[in-house]
Amino acid sequence: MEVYIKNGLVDAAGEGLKKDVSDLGIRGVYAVKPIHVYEIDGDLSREDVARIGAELLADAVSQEYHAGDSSPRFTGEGWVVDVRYHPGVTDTAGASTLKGIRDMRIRGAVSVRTSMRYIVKGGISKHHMDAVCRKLLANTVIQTYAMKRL
Amino acid sequence: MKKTRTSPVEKIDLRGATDAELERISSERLLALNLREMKELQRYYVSRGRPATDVELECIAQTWSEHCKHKVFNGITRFVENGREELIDNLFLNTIVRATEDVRRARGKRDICVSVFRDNAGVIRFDSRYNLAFKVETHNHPSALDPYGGANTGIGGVIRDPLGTGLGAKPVFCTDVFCFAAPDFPHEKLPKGVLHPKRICKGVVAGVRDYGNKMGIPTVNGSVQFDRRYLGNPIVYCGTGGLIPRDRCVKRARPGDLVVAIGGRTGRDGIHGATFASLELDDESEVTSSSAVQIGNPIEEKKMLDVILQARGEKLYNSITDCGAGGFSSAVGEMGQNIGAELRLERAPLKYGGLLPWEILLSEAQERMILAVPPENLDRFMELCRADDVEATVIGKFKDDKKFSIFYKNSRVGELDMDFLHRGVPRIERRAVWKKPAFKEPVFPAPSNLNPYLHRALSWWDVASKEWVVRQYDHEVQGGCVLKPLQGAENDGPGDAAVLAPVLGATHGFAVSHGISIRYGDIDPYHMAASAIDEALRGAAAVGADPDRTAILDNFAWGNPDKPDRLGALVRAARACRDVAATFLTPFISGKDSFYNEFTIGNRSIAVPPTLLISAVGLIDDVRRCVSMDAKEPGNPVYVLGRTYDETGGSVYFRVRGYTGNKVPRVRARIAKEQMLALHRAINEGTVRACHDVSDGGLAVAFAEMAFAGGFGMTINSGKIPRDPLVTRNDTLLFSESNSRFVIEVDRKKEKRFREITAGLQCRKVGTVTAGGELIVLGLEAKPVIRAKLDSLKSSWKKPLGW
Amino acid sequence: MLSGRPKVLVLRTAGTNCDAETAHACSAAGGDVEILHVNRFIRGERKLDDFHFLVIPGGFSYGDDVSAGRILANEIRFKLGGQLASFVGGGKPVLGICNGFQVLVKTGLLPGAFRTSAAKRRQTHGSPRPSQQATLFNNDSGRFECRWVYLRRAENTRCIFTNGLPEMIQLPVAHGEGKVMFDSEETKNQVIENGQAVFRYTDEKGRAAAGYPCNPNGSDDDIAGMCDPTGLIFGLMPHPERHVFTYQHPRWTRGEAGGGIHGDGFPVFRSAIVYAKRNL
Repeated sequence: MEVYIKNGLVDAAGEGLKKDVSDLGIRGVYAVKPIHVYEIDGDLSREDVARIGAELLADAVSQEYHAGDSSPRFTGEGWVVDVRYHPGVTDTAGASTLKGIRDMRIRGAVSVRTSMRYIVKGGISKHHMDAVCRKLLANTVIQTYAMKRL
Repeated sequence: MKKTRTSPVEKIDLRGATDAELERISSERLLALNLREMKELQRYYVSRGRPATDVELECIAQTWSEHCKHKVFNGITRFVENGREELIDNLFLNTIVRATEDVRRARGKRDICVSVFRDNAGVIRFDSRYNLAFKVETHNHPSALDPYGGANTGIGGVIRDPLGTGLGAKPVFCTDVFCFAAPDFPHEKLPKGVLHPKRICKGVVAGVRDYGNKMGIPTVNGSVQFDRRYLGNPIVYCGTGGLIPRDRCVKRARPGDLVVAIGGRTGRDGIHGATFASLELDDESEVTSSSAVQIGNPIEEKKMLDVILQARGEKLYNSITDCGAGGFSSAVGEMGQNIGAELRLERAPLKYGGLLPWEILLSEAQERMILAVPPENLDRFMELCRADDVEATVIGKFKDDKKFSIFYKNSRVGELDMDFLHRGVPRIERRAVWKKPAFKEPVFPAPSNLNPYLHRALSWWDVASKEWVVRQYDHEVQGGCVLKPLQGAENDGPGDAAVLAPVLGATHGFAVSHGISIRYGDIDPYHMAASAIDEALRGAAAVGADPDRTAILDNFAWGNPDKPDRLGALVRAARACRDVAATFLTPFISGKDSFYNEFTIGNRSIAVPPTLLISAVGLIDDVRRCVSMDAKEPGNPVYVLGRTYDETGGSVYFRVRGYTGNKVPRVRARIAKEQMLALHRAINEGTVRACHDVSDGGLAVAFAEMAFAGGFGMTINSGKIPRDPLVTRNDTLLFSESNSRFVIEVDRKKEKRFREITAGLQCRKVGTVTAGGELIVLGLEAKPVIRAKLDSLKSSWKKPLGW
Repeated sequence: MLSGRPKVLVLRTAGTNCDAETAHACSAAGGDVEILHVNRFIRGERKLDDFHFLVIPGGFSYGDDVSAGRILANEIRFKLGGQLASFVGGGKPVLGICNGFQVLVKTGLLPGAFRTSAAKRRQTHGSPRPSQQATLFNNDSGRFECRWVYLRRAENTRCIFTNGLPEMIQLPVAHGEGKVMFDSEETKNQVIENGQAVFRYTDEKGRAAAGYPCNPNGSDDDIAGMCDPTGLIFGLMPHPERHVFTYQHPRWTRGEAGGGIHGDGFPVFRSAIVYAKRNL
């Protein structure tokens, strides 16, 4: 399940990241869009998934969600980066989400892992993108990252 | 040497090992023990007639680490100064402890100390119900690799210190002081494996912010210092103070008490943190030491805190300590050092499977504490934990056999004599040399217009506004913050100290301040240390704290003590601590040292500048009498208390001009104390409207900050400023960083009384607060040397770190 | 008319951290206060109905994972929904501060069920529970900020918590997700017309905030706090419990905090206690 900030709203986190990229001395990035990703493991009905998305994970006013393979495609020049925890690293947000799902009396969920996806738009070389990942988006001590072109 | 592999515990036979083999074992296993220590171990196992287990070796290495045993400070030092050699048997006892003992004796019944240097935090008297515990920690090495996580761990750890003091103090404030390289360091010059200082700064601030804010503890005091030598090795100090009921200050685990682990689960996080902190960093560190960094979970710690305070109220346990460096090994080992303890490692709740017994013992997973719970209280204790969804597990018990016995799945995997473990570490002898360096004494004509230099001083990294940092910390939570870190008409002036009144509804409290004088250390660490103490004390005095009821903490962050020049600087600094604290009659109550803060680039090892942070807490009878630093009312006279000397060595003014110089500020402690007592009286009697201590950038910066924070101008006549006859230039007078000085705005209706109180001291009226928006300073020749609009001064001050 | 001190519940959970000072404010205002964990109510050991005034204090409930206040809001909706409905139905006051405000908004209790076309649209999706019509979103500045703000009370408000307050007050904010947003212009206009936009951020002279930093987070129409249509449920981002005494004011040393003992936040608690005494 992916949670996006609705179009047209100020994405302060994305703006902050854009500034941080330029602080690294790397030019050419014109937008960074952070997306929260929740991987929910378990036996869930389509209705369960819709409720989790609408009532728990995505804020009705400011966010929207996409489940399964319905995620929107990003095009143009840039990169998509996935940042995930190393196995064994405590994922507190995942644990809280699982509690939230259980509070909704949805019993099928077994585990939740959270991760971040970043859509980085702009003309930026692989070398520079890698530096942004290592220095900014991922903490390689506890996280791994994977990047590919849009 | 024979190695036999019997899973999951490895046996290592040290008995027949040669010196070279012993050294190899130490380095392969990252034990960080030297040959003498390894030989001491060998002797122990020869006398036992058996091989060691990996569990034991790890446990000993951790307990004997510099981080835990402070071998440098407690060792034997051959100190050479000016060709004269002397033997110092235990530098720590001879300086800091000695000063504190002398002070306590001299104060007699008016001694405020309750517990010093013994527990996880120092404890002083606060009021009829509570004592005040305060501890400051350094967390440098991990912050270089993972600024966010390292800072998380730093603040998370130091919060558990007061919580693990006595039977638990409730944290009521945090402090933080950071040292980085300047944020404008060119990216292209960054050595391999080093993070950019701006990235480190942002990461550390975010790490402290997220953890401190989520814990609900106000961060009220701190600073950020900059020097190029922190590039590969930033320094992160975090402090926490808490209130502890007076009848809960003594802890003692009793034989038969259960060892209860509470809080987070145990994982492979932070294995070898204690020994890691005793090694130098190099560009490989990023790869090899990643297990030393841990991940913070403030909500877990908050839950644990909530339960512990409830259990404290019900007197359910006899002792408590935190799992910091060394994990269970250190916590249980220390709590049981006079009685004995038995641990069952398989009972510890784990984050994931696959941990070896020694890893469980040594894990530095965060948010864990150990309690000694009498069996009859266990049910009630567990009930409190369940009610708050906090995990707690009995993992052993305290015994009376003076042994540390460690079991894993019913087999004994380690057994060490507590005496050997805690007192067996051989003392190390080191050489220390101190030679006074000679810097070029700058010669340049005195500028007739000081405006540009004032602007540059205000924009200097160390001086510039830290509002960007301060605002990200919740300094209002708990409702106790009475004098905020940011003060003045627009809530953005730099306060000298924060004041808390932590007992809601009551009006007594305390001030929190600090001093750090890195720029003077290159000239002489003695005067650096003395200046840091003076700065911390005058910060507290400036807001109205009682100088006779102020206590201080020392935190040394130093280079490699095996290098005689580094250790020589330490001896100088420690001796200043002794001399100055004894004269001020101010006790040290706690401290921490951090060595090996060096970074290797190519084949050159760069040490951090000698860095001593002094933190102060000063009690206040009525916080409503405190004063802030911002100018209050046009027409009020402005006084300067304290004499200005020709002490521009290491000053911001010299640095701005590219010099170091030699005339480092000194502390004349006896006079300084008299001045502070008079100031205290003047504030207490309501004669003072504003007071600002004079520090970085000297009087010029102090006048400017006071004026723009208050939104009122000032006209100053430099000729009136109390000065040494050797001060003959306007720039020296206005930018010298002599200690023990204050700028004071006096209530004009009470000026007579103020003059009576300060009679006989170096204290003179130097000017007036004005309604105009300008700072005007007339030089010694009665012609303006500074004339600047407040807005422009403020913007120079705010711009550099206005991220 | 209630005899004795009204019973006040300060509801806490994992990550709550303003409970002690909130309880102190309630108690100073004349309440008989208990701080209790939400688990006690879920496990049936205690009942909300035993209390006259409910406060959800500030903090980071469940770490603000997913989004601020979301997990606690969800827990309250699904596990305490009935108890809370009966509490509210009984005409008892509810106050949410900072994280508590976020919780009240995300449970749908604030700004409260009234019929806008957007609300009707969502109703057709079949959720029987009050739906969320507003939110508290990331600050425009992108970071947590602690600062004092100026607030102006709406003239037409029926909020029972603001009786005895001057038109302008000062309180501190400390949050990273405090930007008030609505699902539609229609909702926002109704909230304002109904007098539910209890507090707006202003500049020091009481004029519209004109952006950062007077409006510290970018809230729509400078809204800092809202009540429901009855005026009994009230939430705000600023912290009244941190300005209970005059010397908590940032410029009391400049003589700006006024005389007397109590600060601007005190009447918020006092009004609720007085209301409870008179009406319950």
